[in-house]
Amino acid sequence: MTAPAAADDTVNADPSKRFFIEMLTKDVNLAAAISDLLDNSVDGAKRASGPTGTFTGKWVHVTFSEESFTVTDNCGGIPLDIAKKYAFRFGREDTPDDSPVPGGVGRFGVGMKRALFKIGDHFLVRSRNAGTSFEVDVDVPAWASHGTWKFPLVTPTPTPPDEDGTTVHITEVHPTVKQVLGTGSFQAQLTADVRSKLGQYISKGLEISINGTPVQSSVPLICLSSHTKPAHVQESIVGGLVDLRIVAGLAQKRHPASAGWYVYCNERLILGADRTPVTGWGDPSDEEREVPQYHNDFAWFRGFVFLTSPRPDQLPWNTTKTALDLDSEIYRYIRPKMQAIMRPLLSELRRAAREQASEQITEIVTSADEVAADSVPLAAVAQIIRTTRARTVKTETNILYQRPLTKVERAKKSLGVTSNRAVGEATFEYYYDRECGN
Amino acid sequence: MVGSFETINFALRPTKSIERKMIVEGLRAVARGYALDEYRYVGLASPYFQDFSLIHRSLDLHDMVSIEGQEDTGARMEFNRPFACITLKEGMTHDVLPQLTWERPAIVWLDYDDGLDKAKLEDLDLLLSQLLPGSVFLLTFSVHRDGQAAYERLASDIGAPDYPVGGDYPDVESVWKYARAVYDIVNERITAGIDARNGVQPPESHIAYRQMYHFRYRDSSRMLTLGGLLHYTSDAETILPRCRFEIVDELRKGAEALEVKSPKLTNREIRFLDRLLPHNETPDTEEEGIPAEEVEKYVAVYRYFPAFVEADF
Repeated sequence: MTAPAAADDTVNADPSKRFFIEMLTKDVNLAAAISDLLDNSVDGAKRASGPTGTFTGKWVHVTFSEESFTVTDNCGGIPLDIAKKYAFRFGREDTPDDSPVPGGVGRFGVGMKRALFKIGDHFLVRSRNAGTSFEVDVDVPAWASHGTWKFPLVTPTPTPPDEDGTTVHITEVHPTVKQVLGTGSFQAQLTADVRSKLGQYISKGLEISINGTPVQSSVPLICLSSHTKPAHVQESIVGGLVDLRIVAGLAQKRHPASAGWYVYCNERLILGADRTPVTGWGDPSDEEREVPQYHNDFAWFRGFVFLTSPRPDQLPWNTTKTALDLDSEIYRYIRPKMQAIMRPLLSELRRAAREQASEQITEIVTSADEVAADSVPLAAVAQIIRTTRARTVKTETNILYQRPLTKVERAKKSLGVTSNRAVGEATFEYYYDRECGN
Repeated sequence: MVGSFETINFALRPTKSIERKMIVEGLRAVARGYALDEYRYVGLASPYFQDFSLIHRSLDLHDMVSIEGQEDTGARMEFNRPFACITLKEGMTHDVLPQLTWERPAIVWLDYDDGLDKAKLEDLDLLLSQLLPGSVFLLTFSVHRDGQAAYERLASDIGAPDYPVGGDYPDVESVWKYARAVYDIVNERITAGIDARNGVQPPESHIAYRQMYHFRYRDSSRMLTLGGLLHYTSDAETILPRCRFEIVDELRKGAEALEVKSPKLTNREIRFLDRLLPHNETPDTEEEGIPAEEVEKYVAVYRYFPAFVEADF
């Protein structure tokens, strides 16, 4: 849209709504957008959970079909004044009221908006909090075609017995999204995605269901026994603002697709089963094999990085929470540490593979306990303790002794040899043939 | 890769021997400011263990770790171990370094036989990320390559197309241009490693790197050594002045290297020259017939040069 030619010397840099929506939703995949939406519920639950830190009693229900997509939760809802001033703005204000939830996962202020625009052309957001409630009902194409960046809001009187919570209901689903929602595997995929990303919260009591089926919890596990001791280092960085914890060791199941590094920011999984140079593995295109490129010999390897901070803005996640921000200082700090912690484990796994001793590893992990990764004792270096198999079997040995010179010289003459060694060999064979036979 | 100790008798590398002593001289300077006697020494050994011998004798370090990458040399290394305080670790530095813990500052000299590659840069990353301030690290590489093909090979070995490989270096002798490229790459990596470490720490914990060593020398092939001290930034005002690095002529802070050359002189000539040293000018030896360039070389290293045949027991 163009502004009328102005008499002053400025150019029109007004954002177009269509452009904005496209930028917001482009390159974001549906599952990531949905998880981002669920992060809002998580943050609400965190705000409501207070000092106990558990989410028992809080739930989030996701239901969808090709016609609509709905998320309902009882995680506290959005206060009316927040809704009016901040919740629907694109991006965050730099004020205390709009700062991220301490220790939360909402960071960029776009999660809800992105999901709404991504999924459909009509959305309804209804929320109730502390006696106030509101409803925002928007037909997107109609809104996009007029000038203001405001949404209409109504405030119906809250009716009991609703709990404080939020409902997001999207209809007029976009055709491409409709296609995805209609595929049989989407629910399974979404469940797996939500489980891996939000599994830690589920383990703390948050109930999440998708089309009625509860999502199982997921806690990072690692093997611990006298034969396999994970590395576990902990450090407080960024002036005490961020707690860094790195744990690495073996998993019980030799599952190549699950091997690699897992990075959590405030318990939200950002990177899962990563085996790329991002987390310190070799580049598959490299010829130099000294840097371990991922190989199935390493299929037991699990590494976990836990970054926790009351200030989510300090954590190294990208805007869609699907990857690490490679420019962040935290990332550059942890990468060499991850590599250093990983190498002794990979060397040992490689050595075992070379010795054809992989079944020793299997034995070690099956007889170990699988425990929560952050519960293992602190240790700077990971250890796998097994008996190294000698690669060569010795077939010969030395015999060493002294005898008087004169006797040795006489024996040499008698045997017709010139070296002491030949005397030794000949005399041994002489005896062996006669007394030990064949 | 055949260990270079199998092709060259290490006791016969005079230039290396001189470099080693210069390195110890630099460490003595560090000892003026830091409690060096409590440090650990980590090095790559050959059965000759010369750096271990020299360092234990000169600096009395009691915690020494030797890393030997060649397989099945354990028995020979153990047999040749010169002192009780040396722990032997078998494996490549890439595998062994991550297994060490760094509770005290250390002197780490990674005296590689071969050229720069990605794994060695990762060794450096590890040192930069784990060494305590007050530590000294050195890296020695073979730089016996030149020509455009060498730069392309280097770029592919280290795997990064944006490294400053193949700079022009008009002031550098052509055989050493490659060495300068390697120096630049390693230096950049050091800076990056320090920035990465400081990025998440408050200013009072920030560390800095003070280059001490930049040597070039030739034995059977051209070699480059570089390294220095990692220190708290605040040490620059409080501790470093005590070290008085400036009085150790053999140290180099920047891109200009010290080329270590071993003179070829008879024992008698050496004793003759010693009586004239130290002196501000190179002694005139026309009457004695000693070649001036050998005299110059000798004057540069005379304190580190054996005056008689040295035997390592």
